[in-house]
Amino acid sequence: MVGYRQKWVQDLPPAGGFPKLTYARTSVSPIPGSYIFAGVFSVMAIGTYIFFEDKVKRNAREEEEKRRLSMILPILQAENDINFLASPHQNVYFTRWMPPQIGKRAVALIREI
Amino acid sequence: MESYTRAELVASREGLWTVCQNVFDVFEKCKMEKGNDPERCLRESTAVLGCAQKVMRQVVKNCEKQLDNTVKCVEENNMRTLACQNEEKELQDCFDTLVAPHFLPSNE
Repeated sequence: MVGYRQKWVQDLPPAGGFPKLTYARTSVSPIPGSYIFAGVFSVMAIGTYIFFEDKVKRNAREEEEKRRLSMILPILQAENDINFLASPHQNVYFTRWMPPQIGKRAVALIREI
Repeated sequence: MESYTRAELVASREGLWTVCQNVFDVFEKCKMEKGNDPERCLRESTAVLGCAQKVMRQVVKNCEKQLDNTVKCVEENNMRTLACQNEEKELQDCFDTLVAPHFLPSNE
């Protein structure tokens, strides 16, 4: 027999036992799904409102710009007309080119059908 | 017609329309009635160019500084004029005081 100086002691749980293990399923202060839905949709609604409000303004601005730009059209048209009449606006070359006649082609196709 | 840039014409459009509105209206009416043939509205086109020419000459003669400012602003803003309210107001004031009396009967 071997003579140990320290007496052999077995590891044992503390007095009163270990604390209970929480192995069951838990949920930590959950936010209700309806709240999340409400939040997301309210953010979307506010954003959409701001966007379309701005879009109406932008469209109005663009329309005003177009109106202002179109105010010089009579001058440009008249200038172009006179320049056209002053130029030799005749085809001096013999060529088979014709202006694209899209409308006539469409009408012919419809008639054929 | 002496060549004016688009920006110059756009900048002085209000003045052009106050003076030449009848001429422009007649030209547009002719264009709508007689079609796109340039020969059939030659008189009206000539009248439009003459009126615009007279007005633009006076504007360049009397309000060159204001016109240049407005043209610069308009060209920097991609031919958009809503961003140039101040310059346009100055040009309009100059037009009303110096150019309009040449063409319009005064109300005094």
